[in-house]
Amino acid sequence: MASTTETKQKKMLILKSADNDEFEIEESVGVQSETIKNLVEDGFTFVPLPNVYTKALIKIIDYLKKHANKTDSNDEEIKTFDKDFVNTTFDDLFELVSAANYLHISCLMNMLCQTIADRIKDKSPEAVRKIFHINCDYTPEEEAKIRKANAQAFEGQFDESLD
Amino acid sequence: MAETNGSQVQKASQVHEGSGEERVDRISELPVHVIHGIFSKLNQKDVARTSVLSKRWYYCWTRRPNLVLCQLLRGNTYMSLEKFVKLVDQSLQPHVEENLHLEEFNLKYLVHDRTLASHIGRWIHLVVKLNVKVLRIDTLDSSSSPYYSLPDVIYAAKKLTTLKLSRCKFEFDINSTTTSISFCSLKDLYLRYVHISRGQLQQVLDSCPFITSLTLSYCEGICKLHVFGSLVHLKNLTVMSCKLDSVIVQAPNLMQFTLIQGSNLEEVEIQAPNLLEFSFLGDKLPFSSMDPSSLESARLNFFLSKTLRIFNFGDVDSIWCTNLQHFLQKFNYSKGLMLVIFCCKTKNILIYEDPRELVFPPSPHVDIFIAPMPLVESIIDMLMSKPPKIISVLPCTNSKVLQVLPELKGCPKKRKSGKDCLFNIQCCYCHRGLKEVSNFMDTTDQEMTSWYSWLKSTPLINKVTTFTFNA
Repeated sequence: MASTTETKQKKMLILKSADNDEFEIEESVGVQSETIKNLVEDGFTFVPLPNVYTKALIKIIDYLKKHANKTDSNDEEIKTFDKDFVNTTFDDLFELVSAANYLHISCLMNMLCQTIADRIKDKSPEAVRKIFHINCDYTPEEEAKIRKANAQAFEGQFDESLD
Repeated sequence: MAETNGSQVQKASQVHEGSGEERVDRISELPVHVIHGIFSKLNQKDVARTSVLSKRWYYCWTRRPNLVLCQLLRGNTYMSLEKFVKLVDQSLQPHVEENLHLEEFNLKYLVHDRTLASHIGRWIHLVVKLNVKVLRIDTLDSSSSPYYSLPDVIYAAKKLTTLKLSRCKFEFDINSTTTSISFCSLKDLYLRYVHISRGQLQQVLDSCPFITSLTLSYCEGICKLHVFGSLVHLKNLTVMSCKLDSVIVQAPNLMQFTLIQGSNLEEVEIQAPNLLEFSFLGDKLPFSSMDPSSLESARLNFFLSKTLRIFNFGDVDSIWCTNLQHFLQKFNYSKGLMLVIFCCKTKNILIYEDPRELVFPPSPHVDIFIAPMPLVESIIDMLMSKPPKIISVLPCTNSKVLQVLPELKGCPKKRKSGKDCLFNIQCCYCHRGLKEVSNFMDTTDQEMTSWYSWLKSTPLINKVTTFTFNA
């Protein structure tokens, strides 16, 4: 039996980022991404990722490694890791969203959407616009019309803070 | 997955000059399905408010996968039927025209009439074609609405996971071979004020092998509910006010069963070896063969019908009452369960820590709970609205209740009991300090005297510890 374990080496993959950096990871880690999984199933071991930049890819590989080693006992550890993972600048956050979207990593996508949603929840539209630098391209009349059509949603007090 | 037609969308990216830092609107550049992913983490109101952020967000909002539309505006004001129909049509338009993904279609309308019935039929047609997963069509006022005929097209909804209907009538013929029901993904079925026959329900259930939750509430056209072993995934079963005379349930993995029933129930057979929670409300429970040993909590609320209220519980049918005692003694009390009886007439609580000797207090209405100690507290809290006057405890050796009860002061929520109330009733009654009573002779209170004279007539008198609630 020992000989089979020796010969059975871990299958490795090479991921190539948009800025041409190459990373070697275990196949079992990589296939948490649907996109990578599909390529692996088609026999690829070299995976070019033209939409994912090195900075985001390093973080994502970190994430995949952590989550590939999920067991019953390290639940707390992963929670802490995740919390730390999303505690980043908006620029990085949206890089990660694009990468997770391209790579189809649903649990990561879920977490990132939640992180963004938490910044929208209970906020006034004015506050949301400021937080995300959204430019309002409505005329005041158009905006008033949309508010009127959804009057219930605008009733009550909203959080005006920008955090 | 429906993807945006990029040419229709104006990119809202904006660079602010000045502070030296580029302030780019990254969020609006996300693909529509990612923005919908963000929507899925927000409530309907938060989502609706994003429609005003910019034209891009309005575009995403009108194409949202969860359409929840309610005729109620606020308080008691409703939009007119005409307006509501227009709203639903407008909301569905982009989905229909662009064949977009529709996760949920959820309508709450006020009252039903012929005009609306034809619209509902039409909407069901549209959303089934869009492979809707969650379909809820519910009325806000169930008493006065007539039934609408459920269109046959619904049976083709293969992707449906949740179906909630009210005020409709199942029309298919159980002997016809033309109706084939394909609820192969359905997990949650909720029928409220729905007309369905026993045979129709059987056929519907036969077509949903993965059903985990079934609720029938105020349904008509059905007098026997027979749920048999093929439903191996069934975990929750709730039957409320359905005028049933027979309930037979064989469900190997059923965990929670609620049966709320007026009278008329003649036959109840429950074979559910994994049942954890059982609730019953009615005049009598003919539990012929039920084995309660797996149960971790139960609530049995028995009341005599109005014409019999002059009697006490057990006076009218003492054999049945004896059966009930046997049933209650079959619970697995070694798991730390306790028996709490609330006597609704005299408003007294009787707690048995060890119910080997079981006597019922006189009352035409008793509310019986079997629950572990942490839940006993929340049960008492729930009963505080009645409100009770006296608690008598029949303790076992090393009684936990006697240790805990004198400490039950103030709001339990503040003390973080850690467990929610089992029976989902808001409990927050402050200032309910308890005082132990050693001598009933001092009291002139009528309820206390009558409770004492009942206790004296039972073997319990020398074993109980009694407390009163401070006003």
